[in-house]
Amino acid sequence: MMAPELRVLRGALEGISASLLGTCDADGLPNASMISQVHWVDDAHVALSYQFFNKTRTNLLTTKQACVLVTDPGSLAFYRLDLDYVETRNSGPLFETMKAKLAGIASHHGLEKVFRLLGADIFRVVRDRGGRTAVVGAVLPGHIPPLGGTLLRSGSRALP
Amino acid sequence: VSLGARSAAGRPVIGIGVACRVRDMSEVRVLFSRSANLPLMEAFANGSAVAATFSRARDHRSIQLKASRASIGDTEPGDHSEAARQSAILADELMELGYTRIQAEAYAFCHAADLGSVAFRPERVFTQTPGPGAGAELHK
Repeated sequence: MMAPELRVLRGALEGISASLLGTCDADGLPNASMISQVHWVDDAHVALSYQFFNKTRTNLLTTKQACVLVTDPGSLAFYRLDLDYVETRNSGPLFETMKAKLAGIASHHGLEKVFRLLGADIFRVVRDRGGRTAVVGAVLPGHIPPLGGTLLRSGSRALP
Repeated sequence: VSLGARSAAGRPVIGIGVACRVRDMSEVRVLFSRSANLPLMEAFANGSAVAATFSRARDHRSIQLKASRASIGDTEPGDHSEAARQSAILADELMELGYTRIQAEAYAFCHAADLGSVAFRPERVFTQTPGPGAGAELHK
């Protein structure tokens, strides 16, 4: 049964803030990059914007694994998610939604001629043996991240 | 600053740094929040290689350094003030992008008592600016 936990992270999965993406190559050498969108799909899946065929893309197709750090723009809480690649979609409602959002992001950064969505990479969110997803982060005063369901909060940064 | 590693289980791990210092133009030290990067610290303790990407908020222009080993360390004299200085610069850049001051400062903030560091000697350098060339190696 799918836990409802990913739904409470939707604020961090709307493409407001750029996310960090970690992958490894076939030899285990890590790669750290930024990604424009980590998009909520359902309670077990997210979609990452596939914009270029580069080192990150090569690693994803080779190992089928990724790790993302997303930020909730309201609480500024960070969430770290382990991901397993499922498939790439290059048409349909999800693709069109992400394509429209990417156009807005590109315009905001003056990168209209650089950013172009080639596909929506679907990933399953990996849970630990207890069915939990690790959460880390900073919390703005008066803004408590929604730690409901089976979320495991493994760290936080207190603000002055 | 984005920090990449590989866990003992073989999975990629991503973390975030708040500042960077360079010693003798040979050793890079990235400062970060310990509590926000526990899986990353565990990976380095298990001997993971490191990837560190430094990005400009305004246009995401980035460069990536990699090394086969990295060591977790405590803070050194001057680390706290340097982290505060670089965090303030990032906060100013985020405000230029539309963040409110409280959002920008919270995003860039790291409590002094929570500050840790990872040190490494870069072995390879890559462009990482978003685009088709991201990940291309820069040779001497």
